[in-house]
Amino acid sequence: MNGPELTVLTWLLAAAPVALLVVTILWRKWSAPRAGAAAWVLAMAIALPAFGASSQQGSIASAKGLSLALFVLTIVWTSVYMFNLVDRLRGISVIGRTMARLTDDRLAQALLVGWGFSSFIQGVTGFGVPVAVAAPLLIMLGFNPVKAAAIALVGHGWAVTFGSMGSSYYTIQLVTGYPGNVIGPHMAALFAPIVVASGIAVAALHGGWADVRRSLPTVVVAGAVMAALQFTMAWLGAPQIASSVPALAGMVVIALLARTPLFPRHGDLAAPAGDAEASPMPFWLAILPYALLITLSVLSQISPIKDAVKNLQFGLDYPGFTTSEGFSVAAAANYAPIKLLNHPAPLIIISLAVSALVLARMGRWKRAAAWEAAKLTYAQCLSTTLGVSLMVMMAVVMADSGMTVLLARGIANASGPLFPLVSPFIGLLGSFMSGSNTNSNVMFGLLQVETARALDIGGVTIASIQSIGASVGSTMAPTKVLVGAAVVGLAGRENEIFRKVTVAVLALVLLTGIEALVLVMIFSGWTR
Amino acid sequence: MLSTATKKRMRHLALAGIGASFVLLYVGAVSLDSAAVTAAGLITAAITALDAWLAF
Repeated sequence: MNGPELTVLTWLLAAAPVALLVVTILWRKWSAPRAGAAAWVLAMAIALPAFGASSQQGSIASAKGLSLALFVLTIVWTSVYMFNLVDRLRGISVIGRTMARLTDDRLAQALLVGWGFSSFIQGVTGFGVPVAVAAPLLIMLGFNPVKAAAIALVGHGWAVTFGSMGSSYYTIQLVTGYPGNVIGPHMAALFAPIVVASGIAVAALHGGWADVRRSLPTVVVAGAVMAALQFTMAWLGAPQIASSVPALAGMVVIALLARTPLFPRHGDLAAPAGDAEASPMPFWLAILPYALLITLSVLSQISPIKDAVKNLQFGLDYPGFTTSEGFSVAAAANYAPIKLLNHPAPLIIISLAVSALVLARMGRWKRAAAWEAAKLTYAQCLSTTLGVSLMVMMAVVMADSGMTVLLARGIANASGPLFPLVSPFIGLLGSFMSGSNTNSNVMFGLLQVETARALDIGGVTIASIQSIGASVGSTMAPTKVLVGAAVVGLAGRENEIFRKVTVAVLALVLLTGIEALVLVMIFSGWTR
Repeated sequence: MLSTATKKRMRHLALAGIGASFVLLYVGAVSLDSAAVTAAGLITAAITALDAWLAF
């Protein structure tokens, strides 16, 4: 026996915590910590009596959830702090203005800032920051506020999974158990059409089909470079920079092609951006922490360095168990380990320390900025920390009591051969209701893979598609749209941005589903 | 209804509560295999969940 028998009642019980999350976040408009708290309590209340888990097993699952949350949250805390510190030192505005000076064509600027720069920021921080930085920058360049917010939102959707130093990617890898060298390149390859399509969506949001036609050669070339680099980074084992490096390269390609006949000039030109001499610091100094991080991420993948520090890691051991309903969970040694040079948090800390020394030597270090950034990071991350912790606890309790497997079996029976088409929309649902690709992967990652196994279709593809759907879908999450509306001064008029974003996001997610369906139907061997 | 200041204080407590829950749940259910410590961990986690539900 492998958990309770699949009946309508057991399936409804297994679905109850997820349904509670959906209903409370979407309809009752609860925050993530509030909904997560209720869902964890409900998951425990169902897992213990109905799924045969003991209180000790429920406790082990909850503690495992917190181990997993710690892995993800250390990335969140350090990357948000890094961004806030660079921002407080006025480095982000220097980076943004330098990007804007690369071209005076408005469409090229939309692609450069809305597709490239917002994705770079997503690569190194995330959590709504891309829209908070890129949208005001577009307004500064003379864009309409609704367009600015919509472009910044849709433009970085492809960069979310490998963004935030790879936190969502690491989560899907951890919850599904697929090794990085299997799922990383596979997912990056599946992202390729979405990278290009995101650029097309930005052009369409800017000026409809006329702008899509005008920018198509540039978008295709830049998108191909970005997709190829994303694949390369994932294949090299550096997923934490598989959004930031391609985004930077994309910006360079867009800036270069915008000066060639491949990008026909248009009368709609912007005023030149601010004077370089008014800049609070040189560009190289502003970008230094991120450049160091990228360098360290690449260096850490070199075998001798990797081998030298492989034992420097922190992870807890968890025992295996079998519930009274017969559902078995394997023991996990060194669960969700934080490795010194293979986890973004230590790399960020090292990059920040070196940058601080350089800044101090150049007389540009401000202790007050470091303290302000810390206070801001704490305030920004408090809700995320509670939300992620409680939702991950709920997800692991569901997984370790057999609820997720049962839920998956039910979905597999209902959707049958069309499941790959439905799969990215499940990812979208998760990120829409929680505002986070990571949370969506925690909630639905294992469920999707179990469903794929039940249908005997490619689990790696479905796990990848879950995260891609969640990545793109997170950009239409109310939490992000609210940030977008607030920063462009349209608070209370979120629906105008939401309408623009929804069409583009749904089209991208549908494309993801079609891609998965075609792959599973035609290349079923490759998708496993 | 809770005041904004009370909610703010409760948010900090929720963060401390989730940290304490982690320690108690792990030590109780894994390290010591102690029913009493595990129960303390579950109670702390439940109180933290209630705190988060009220404060956020």
